[in-house]
Amino acid sequence: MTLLEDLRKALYKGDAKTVTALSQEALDEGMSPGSLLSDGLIKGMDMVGVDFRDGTLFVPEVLIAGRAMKAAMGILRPLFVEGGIEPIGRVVLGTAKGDLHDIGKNLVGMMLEGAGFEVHDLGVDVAPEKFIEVAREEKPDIVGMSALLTTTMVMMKTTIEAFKKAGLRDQVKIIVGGAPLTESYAKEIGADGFGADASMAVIKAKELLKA
Amino acid sequence: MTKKTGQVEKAFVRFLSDEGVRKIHEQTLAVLQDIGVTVMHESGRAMLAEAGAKVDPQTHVVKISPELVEHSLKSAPKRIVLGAREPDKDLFLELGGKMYARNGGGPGHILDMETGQVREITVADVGNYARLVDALDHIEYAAPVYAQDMPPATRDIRVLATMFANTVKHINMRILDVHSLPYVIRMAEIVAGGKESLRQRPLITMLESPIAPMKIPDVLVETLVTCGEYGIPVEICSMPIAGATGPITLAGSLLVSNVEMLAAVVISQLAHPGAPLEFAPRIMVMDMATGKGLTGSIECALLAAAGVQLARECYQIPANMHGPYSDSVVVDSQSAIERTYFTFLPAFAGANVLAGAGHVEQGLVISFTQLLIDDEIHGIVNRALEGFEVNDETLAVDAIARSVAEGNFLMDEHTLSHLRTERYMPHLLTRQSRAIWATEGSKDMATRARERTQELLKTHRPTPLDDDVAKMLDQVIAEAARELEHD
Repeated sequence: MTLLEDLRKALYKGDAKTVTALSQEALDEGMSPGSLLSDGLIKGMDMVGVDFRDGTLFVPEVLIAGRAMKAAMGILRPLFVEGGIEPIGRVVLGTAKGDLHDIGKNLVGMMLEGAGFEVHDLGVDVAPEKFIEVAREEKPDIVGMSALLTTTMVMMKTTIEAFKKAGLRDQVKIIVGGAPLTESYAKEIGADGFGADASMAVIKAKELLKA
Repeated sequence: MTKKTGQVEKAFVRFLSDEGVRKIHEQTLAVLQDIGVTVMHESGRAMLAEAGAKVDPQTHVVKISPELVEHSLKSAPKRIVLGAREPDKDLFLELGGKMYARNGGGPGHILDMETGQVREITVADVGNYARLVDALDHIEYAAPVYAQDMPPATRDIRVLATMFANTVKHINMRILDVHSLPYVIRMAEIVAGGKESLRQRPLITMLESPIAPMKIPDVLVETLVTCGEYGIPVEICSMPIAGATGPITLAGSLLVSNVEMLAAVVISQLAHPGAPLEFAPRIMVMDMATGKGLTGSIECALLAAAGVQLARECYQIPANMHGPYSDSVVVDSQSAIERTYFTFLPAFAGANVLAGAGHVEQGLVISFTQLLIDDEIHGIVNRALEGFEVNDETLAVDAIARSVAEGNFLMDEHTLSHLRTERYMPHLLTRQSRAIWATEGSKDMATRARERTQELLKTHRPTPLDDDVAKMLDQVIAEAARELEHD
C-alpha cells in the first residue's frame, strides 16, 4: 500500500517523473491497471480537487498534478485498450470559436482526467463543424465548451444549434463554462449543464453521465 | 525618509512640510513655557517645581521651560518592547519597524451579531473579544472592554484576569479606577514571573489621557509615575475635539494635543528617566451639525497621519494611533470607506501601532463582525506596506523566455516557486464568480465575517494559564474584592 501512497503524494505534488516511475513499478509488481487508476491516480487527483476547492492548492498546482496524471496515463491507456477497460466517460473539450483563452478549459480537462474521464482536448478557437466532426467520429458522452469573452460566448449557442441541425444533439450531453457565463445563460442556449468552476464542471459531468 | 522592510525601500507619506513640523514643535514649547498646563496632582506639581517648572499654587497651572522638555525627550526610549505571555508574540515598537494592530478597547456596549441590537457587555463578551484577537492573524495585541455584569470597584482587575486567560498576546489596559493600579500590576507580575521579568518584557501597557484642553488629571500622573517604576509602557492618549476642546483648525488641535503629550513626557521622565512611552495623539473633530465628536472623518485621519509624522520626525517616540476608525453605527459601506482610509493614511505615515479594530460608533460600541473585517483590512494594509522587490529573480527574465514556447507562465517553475510569496490571501474577501458565490449561499461580507467569528469562537482555544498562575490571579481578585468592594 505504501507504493500507492507514495504515488498519490507524488501526484499531489505534480512530480510527473516519480508518478510515472511508481506507476510502472506498480504494474511490474502485478497491480492491475484498473486498480492503479482508481486507487492511485484518481484518488490522488481527488485530494487535489478537494484541496483546490478549500483554497489550499492553487491553479498552477492543479495543472501540474494534472500533467503528472497525464504522464502516467500514457503508460496506462494502451493497457486499457488491450484489456478493454473503459473510462468512466469520454469528453471532447474546446474553447468556442474565436476564443483563444484556454486556461480554464485546460483546468477542467485536467480535473476531468483526474476523475477518470478520457478527455480529447481540441484546443482553442474550435469551430462548430470541428466539434461535430469529432463528435461523429468518437461518439463522446459529453462535449464541453468554454468562452472567456461575451463576444465569443454566443458561439456556444451557434455550436449547439449546429449539433441540432446535424441530428447529433440527443446523442451527446453538452456542458458549458467560462467567466461571463451564468446558469441561466447555459439553459437559455440549450446546454445540458453549466460548470461554474473546474470542480463544479467535474461534478456536473458525473451527473450528466447518469442522466 | 525611507523605511526598510526586507529589501524594499519605502517612502513615508508626509502630510506636514518641514516648516510645518518645525512650527508646531516651536509653538508647543512656547505654549508649555508661556501658557502652561494644569496639573491637578499635588506631588506631581511638586516634582515639576523641583525640576524648575513655574507652578501657580492657586490655579495649579505649571509652566515648563523648553530646556526641561528637551531634556525629558532625550531620556524617553526610542524602542520599546511589548511582551506577550508567549514570547514569540512579543512586539517591538521602533522607528521604521513593523506596524502592529490592536483591537479597540474601552466600550461597555456591543453590537450583538446575532440580534443586530446594541446591548451591555457581559463577562463572556470580554473573554470572547480577547479570544478572537488571540485567533486573528493581523491583530497583534488585545485591549479589553468592560463587562457591565461585574462589580464596578473591581472591574479592572477582573477584566484583566479574563484577558490573561483568553489571549497569549500583549494586553493594553485602561483602568477605570486608580485604586486598581497596584492590583493590575501585581497580576502582570504574577503572569510574567516576577518584577524583573515584567520590566524586561512588560505584558501590559497602560492607556491614560490628559483632559483637553491641557489638563493633566491625577490618574494620568499616578499612571505615569507607577508604570514608570515597573517599566510598563504608557500610551499617552491625547484626544482634544477640534472645535470643542481644541481649536477648530486642525493645526491648532494638533498643537494642543502635542502640548498635552509633551507635558506627560516631562512628568514621566522626571519620575523615571527612561520610562517607556507611546505617543497617541488621537484627535477628534466636532461635527458642527450634530455636536458629535467624530473619530472617523477624513480630518481625523489626516490628523492621525500628521501626528505620526510629528512623533517620528521630532521625537522618535513610537506612535500609536487610531485606526481603522469610523463613525458609522453599524457595519456597512460607510464603515468600510472610513476604516480603509483610516488605516492607510496613518500606516503610510509610519505609525507603529493602529488601535481601533472592532470599534463602531465613534468607539462607543464594539462589534465582533467588525473586528473580523478589520483583521482583513490590516492584512491588506500590511501587504501594501511590504511593497514588492525588484531583482533578477523577481524580474523573471528566464521564465519570460520560456513562456515563448510554453504560451503561458502557469506551470513554469518560477510560478510554482513564488506561488505563495507575493500574494495576500484574504480570509473574507470573495474572488468567486457570481455563480459559485450563489451556490455558496450568496453571502455578503458581513455574513461571511459573522460566520467566521462563530467558527473561531467555536474552535479557537488559547493556551491556558498555568493552574498555579490562575490560582494566584484568583487570590488577587479575592483580595481586591475584600479591599475595594465595600458598601
